[in-house]
Amino acid sequence: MHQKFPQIALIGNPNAGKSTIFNLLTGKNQKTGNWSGVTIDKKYGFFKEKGKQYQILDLPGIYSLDSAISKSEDEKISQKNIIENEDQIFLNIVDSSNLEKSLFLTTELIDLNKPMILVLNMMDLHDKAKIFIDTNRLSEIFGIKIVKINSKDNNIEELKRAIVDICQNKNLPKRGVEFNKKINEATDVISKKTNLNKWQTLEYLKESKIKLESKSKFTAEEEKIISQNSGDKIDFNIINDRYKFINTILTSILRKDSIFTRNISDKIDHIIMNPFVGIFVFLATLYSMFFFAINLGGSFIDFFDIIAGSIFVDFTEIIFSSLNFPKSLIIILSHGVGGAVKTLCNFIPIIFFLYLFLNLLENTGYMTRLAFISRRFTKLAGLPDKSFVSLAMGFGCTVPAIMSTRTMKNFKHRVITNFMLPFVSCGAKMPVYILFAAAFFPENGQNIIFLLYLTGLILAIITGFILNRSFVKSESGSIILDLPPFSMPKFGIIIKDSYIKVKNFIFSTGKNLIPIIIVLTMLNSFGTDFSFQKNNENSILSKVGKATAPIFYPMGIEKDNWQAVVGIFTGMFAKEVLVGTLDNLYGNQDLESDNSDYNFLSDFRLAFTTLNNNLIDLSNKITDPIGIRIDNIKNLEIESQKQEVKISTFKSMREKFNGKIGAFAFLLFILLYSPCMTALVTSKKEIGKKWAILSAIWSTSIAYIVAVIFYQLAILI
Amino acid sequence: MKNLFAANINQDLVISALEESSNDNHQLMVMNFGVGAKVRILQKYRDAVIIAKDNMRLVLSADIASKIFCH
Repeated sequence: MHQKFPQIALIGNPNAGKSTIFNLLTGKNQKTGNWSGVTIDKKYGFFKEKGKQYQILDLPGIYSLDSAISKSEDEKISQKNIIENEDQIFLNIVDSSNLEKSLFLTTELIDLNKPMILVLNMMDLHDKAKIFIDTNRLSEIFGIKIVKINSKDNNIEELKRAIVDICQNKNLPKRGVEFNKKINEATDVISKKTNLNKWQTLEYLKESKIKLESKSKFTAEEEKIISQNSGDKIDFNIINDRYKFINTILTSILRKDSIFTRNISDKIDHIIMNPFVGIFVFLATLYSMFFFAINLGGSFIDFFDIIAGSIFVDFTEIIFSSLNFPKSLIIILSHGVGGAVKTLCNFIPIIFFLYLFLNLLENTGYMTRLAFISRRFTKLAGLPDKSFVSLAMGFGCTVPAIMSTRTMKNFKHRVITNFMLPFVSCGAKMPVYILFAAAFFPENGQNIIFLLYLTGLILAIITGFILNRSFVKSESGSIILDLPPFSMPKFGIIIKDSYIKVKNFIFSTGKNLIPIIIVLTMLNSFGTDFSFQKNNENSILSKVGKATAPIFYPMGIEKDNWQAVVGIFTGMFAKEVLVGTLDNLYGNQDLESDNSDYNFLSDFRLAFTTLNNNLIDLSNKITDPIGIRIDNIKNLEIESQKQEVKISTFKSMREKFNGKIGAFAFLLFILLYSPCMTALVTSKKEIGKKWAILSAIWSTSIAYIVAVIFYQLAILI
Repeated sequence: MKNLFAANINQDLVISALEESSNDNHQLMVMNFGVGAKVRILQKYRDAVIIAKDNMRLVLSADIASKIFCH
């Protein structure tokens, strides 16, 4: 469908202003960026001029097309699109205040020999800095049309006219980089015998993957010339020649009347990049992220839970009951499908608030600084750069934390961080800790939970340490970061971008999660004879739990405590399901619920009441952002109401587990074992099936070993 | 300039040619400068340096910075 329109690709360095121009051309309000979690897909839009439609493609920022330079996933998408798409017209967006750096990519694009327009963006900044560019001369040198854009009088109409013109005339650039004699000699030999453009010829010389059909036509002498001027060393010469060419051009077109001065961003950087002050700002930012995402976002969970439960579970059950559907089908549709949607909805507030906060950090320009400051921590432990930011996000939810690893250029770093993340205690595990703290550690629950958090973090660091030094040995921790100037956040864009990300999360995760939860519900609702089980004591899932219970015997789970085993299985699907499962099985509750007094308005009112109460309670959480502090729990009845579990659950748990030792061993296993299915699916998307499975096996094995060692040692002592 | 860390804040430095290239150094060269470019030191830490050229600001880890400014 897209192919019938002329396609114009926006290409440029990160932060060159591509998205601003994309929005100006298409009237859309989309955003791209180059940090954790930003969508790396291409974005399409259209504009109409003189009755004809033009398709605009917004690509992630890229510094160079050179195959020798390592690239992050989003850069690879740009590189592939630019190189492989034959019919595109290039709109090269250049930050005119950093011409030397920006023109490097321009010279590579010229070598591809496609129609292109050079857009000099941020000309207002240039004027402010009293820098003059002779654009006519620049246009003459390259033989391409140049359009100047600035934030005041966008000049977007001239750009549209230039696009229409180039789509009709297909003018090609006239002059590219003049390389040194040896490179020219070799490229001349290749271009005479092949149809390769200049860029492909240079790539061939670098012994990249460019393949020649006519290679056999080279004479022995020509082969000699090519081989003498190819290989690794040529990389450096090509880069050097490009910069020499750029500097020659700049000497003739650029005039500077200003002297260098430090701007406001420099002054802020002077404070926040400082090794001492910077760490305090960094910790305060992390603390704020916890508070914002877990507590403020978490305040909306009950609201979503009640509303989604009312609509997707209760209402669905009533509708299908009134239609006289079989009981088993009603359970599958309401508690299976509806329950899955409800589970997914519970993720929405925390993920939305997390993205909101991270987008805010990115929008202001602090995210890049955060990556640098956190490096000081990770370097100490020999961990990959940027992994600290992902680990910090993992305390909220493992899913966005895994997604944040995609901007790591080194694939091994992404694998290591994905292996580390399951050990970081996500927010969904907290209800399990609180349940067990209430049942077994009423006097010192907060210490037990803190110990669990600490154990997880230590094991994450040990995992990173081991992997970094063994089978996925990573490269040195060298770092080069482009520091964008600080700017005031644009709240409209931040909210819209967060919304888009949450929407993408729901749809991409939902299609994987919902079928799994349906299967789980079916296994929990039917017996081995496929008869519907009102009491899930005899369900397939229970039978499996009973059969597999002996595996967990070394960590203190007795055969009659099969409910804990089923909890482990259901926790695999979603950690927050675990408390419900334990309550369901220990409390001996069946799936049928009494919806005779169903009233959506009353549920809606209740949802708002919980929202109101949770928001009022926020002030108490400022000093306890991850909810570690728990008051002494002495009254089980009150605590069971707080945790929304039955009093019989606590009693059963105390009977089934081997006291505090057995309970803590179980908690250790829950803390460390495989992340939930959503996280695993996300991990598969980020690092591939093989590594995602290995990561789950690794974390589950560590969980089992740690829990068994703890239990066996503790009972000896 | 023999060593980056003998340089002062606000001093201008010229990027030297590299005897041996590697991915990291390539990346730096391609992304930002080129041999012979003059940059200004804005901040200097034990593990990194912040440099400026025109409106561009870059933070470089010490290992990379010491390679490209020492020759």
